Amino acid sequence: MMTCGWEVKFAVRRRKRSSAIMKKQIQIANIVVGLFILTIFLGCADKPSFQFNAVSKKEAENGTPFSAEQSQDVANILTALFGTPDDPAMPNVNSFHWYLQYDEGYAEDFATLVDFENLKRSAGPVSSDENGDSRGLYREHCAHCHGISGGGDGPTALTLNPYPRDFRHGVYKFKSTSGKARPTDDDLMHIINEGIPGTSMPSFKVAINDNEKKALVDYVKYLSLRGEIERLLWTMTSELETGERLPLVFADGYDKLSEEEKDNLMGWFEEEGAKVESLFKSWLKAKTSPNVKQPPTAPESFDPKHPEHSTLIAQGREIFHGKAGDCKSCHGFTGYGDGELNNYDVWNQWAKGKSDDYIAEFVNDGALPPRTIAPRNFRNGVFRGGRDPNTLYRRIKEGIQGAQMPNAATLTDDQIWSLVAYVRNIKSEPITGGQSHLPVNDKPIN
Amino acid sequence: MSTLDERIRSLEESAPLPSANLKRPFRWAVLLGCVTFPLIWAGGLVTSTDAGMAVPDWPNTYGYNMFSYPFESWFFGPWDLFIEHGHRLLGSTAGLVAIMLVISTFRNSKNACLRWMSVFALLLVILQGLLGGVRVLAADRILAMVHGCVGPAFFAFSAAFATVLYQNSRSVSAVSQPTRRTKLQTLTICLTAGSFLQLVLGANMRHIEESASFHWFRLLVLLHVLFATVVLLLTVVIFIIRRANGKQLESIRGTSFLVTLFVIAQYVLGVGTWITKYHWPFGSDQFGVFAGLLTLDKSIVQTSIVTGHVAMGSLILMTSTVMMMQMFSWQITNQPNKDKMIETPTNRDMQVSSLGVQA
Repeated sequence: MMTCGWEVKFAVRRRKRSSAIMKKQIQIANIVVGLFILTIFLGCADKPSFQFNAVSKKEAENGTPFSAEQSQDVANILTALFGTPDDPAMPNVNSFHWYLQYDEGYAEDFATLVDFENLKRSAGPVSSDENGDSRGLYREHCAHCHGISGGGDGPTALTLNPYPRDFRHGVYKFKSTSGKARPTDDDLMHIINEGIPGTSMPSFKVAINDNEKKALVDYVKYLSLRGEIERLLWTMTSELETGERLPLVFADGYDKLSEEEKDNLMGWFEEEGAKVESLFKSWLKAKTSPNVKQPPTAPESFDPKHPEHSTLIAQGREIFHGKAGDCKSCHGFTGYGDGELNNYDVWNQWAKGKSDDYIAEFVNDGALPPRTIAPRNFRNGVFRGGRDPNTLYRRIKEGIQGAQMPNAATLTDDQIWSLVAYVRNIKSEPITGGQSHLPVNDKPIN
Repeated sequence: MSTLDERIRSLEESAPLPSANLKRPFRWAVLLGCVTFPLIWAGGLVTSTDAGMAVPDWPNTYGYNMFSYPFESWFFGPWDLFIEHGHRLLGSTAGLVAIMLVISTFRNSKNACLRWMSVFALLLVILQGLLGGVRVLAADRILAMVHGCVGPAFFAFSAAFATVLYQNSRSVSAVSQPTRRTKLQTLTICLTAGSFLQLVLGANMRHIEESASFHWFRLLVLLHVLFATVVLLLTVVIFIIRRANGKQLESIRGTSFLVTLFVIAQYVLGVGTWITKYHWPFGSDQFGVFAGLLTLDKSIVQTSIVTGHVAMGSLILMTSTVMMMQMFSWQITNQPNKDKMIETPTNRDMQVSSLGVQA
């Protein structure tokens, strides 16, 4: 069979084209396989371990980085006191010989702060047994957002708004205790149980049982305490002379030290140990004798059906906009939460008034990019800590710890109740002047 | 160029081999796909409910042989044990069906490529089982992620094999082949690759280590959203081209429609997954609908949407793979000693297959 020249040319051209397409397909396949392998290996992470609090460390360094030995000392002390994410520990009497100098009975109370079995149950990798008892609860339910160290810097943190809570300050917004007091176990349990509407904090009502929730409450306290001690250790390190190091009494064991070393350490702890002690005591107090004040009974006119209810709301409105309450400066004239928008909460306070370069250095070292506070928008009728009257009364009376919401020290009980009535009603209040929203205000209101 | 002439001649002489016998392995391949899809659902549920470590041993289940584990302990036991053990049993079922597929293929065809494809399917399911087992023994999330990627790949391969068997179990006239192909072939290959890449990115997000960087997770999210858009565009373009070319592309009518439908559904499920798991991402205060939304961890709604998103991803990969396979001809020659799949004479101007098998 003869083959014409044009047929051969056509066949060759076709073959070349076919070959070129095939090459392209192989290239595409290579890219896909390459991306697959790349994502697998880039996604690989080391075994979970506690990380330094990048912000506290950098703030304490104040431009002069700590030596590797100094940083290692802090890591050793923390590991000796609190163990690792897989094998947690709680400081015990042996770790705190120096406490015994102050209060012999303190060690017994101290042991009740958290249930060690709860810690073991919450720590470590996720697993469960044939009876359905789960372990590794923290990693299963919390660590993806709050991070292994409880720094609110888990993998998902940057994509969430607001950021997850950083436990390492020991500060919690929604609690029943007064002022700077630590939250009670019930407060933490409430958040785990009910979640926080309008945020990424879910309710764990159906996900875990009550015993597991209690275990998580203890683990959150453990991470808070660990984080607070770490912050304190960085501050202590910053006060050392160049080349000087923190005494490693926790790490190597008190009993191994010579008498002279023990005496020296006692001298050091007489000054610094009290600070550590106060942290433990504050958590103990929240557990054993919390300072929880019940709100007074609301006035009769608080009932929406009461004929004087509108008067109460009007009083609240006056306080909201007047000098007595001055709520408008943050929450805006119309309650849209569009007042002062350039303030920072306690977790982002390090960025306040700092230059972009300064902030960039922190972010490069592992801090989350700082965000300013968004005052509550009352027009949505949503209150993240709960909208029942008693809870709202407490928020106004005590303020919100960590946020810039101050306590209403000068307002009477009746004034506070009128404010509660007003903020619950703002949602249905008509907006005067046709202005639905203020332009974004980036200037502080004094 | 005598070899080229000979090749062209041989192509002309080789008639496709319609084989009624291949209907049996075809049915096994379809059954394998049908078993694999619920298996993927169950696998998705294992991750959604963190049940992966509910049974600490493997291949046994709490010391029992997997198949002799007491029914009462499994069926009426804890939810995570029910899911994990059920996933194992379904996986074993898929393995058995894969063995039957190999036997059926070897009994009904002497074609080396078909036989190898059936063996490859079996090897894939064995690999998948091993990955699942080692993931449990090593308690390794990275292996869980790889396990989560190989599963859909196996599902897609089963469907691809079923397509090849389907084409060869019918005469040429019965299998209409598209005539406008080259660009569309490339698009379908890109769509399949894009679908798989999306699965890999999604698996990375689902199985991310707790100690991973938040920058890394955000990058994964952004890439996932970016490639979701690419996949959507590819799907729409393919759909429009197919509609514009009517009968010429009749063979991919069903699959292009299904892929489009699935991708749209996947978008809805993707948004739903994020909202039910992580809430509205842009700050909820100015969005009244989301301001008071409270997510309920591991609720039925959350678990169903998230697992549905995973399963739908696999379905898109499978459907796009079938569509890609339909864009090529996989007829087998009846020439003696030509134990290979070749392109049909009527379509010999086609490019060679994406699997690299050529005459």
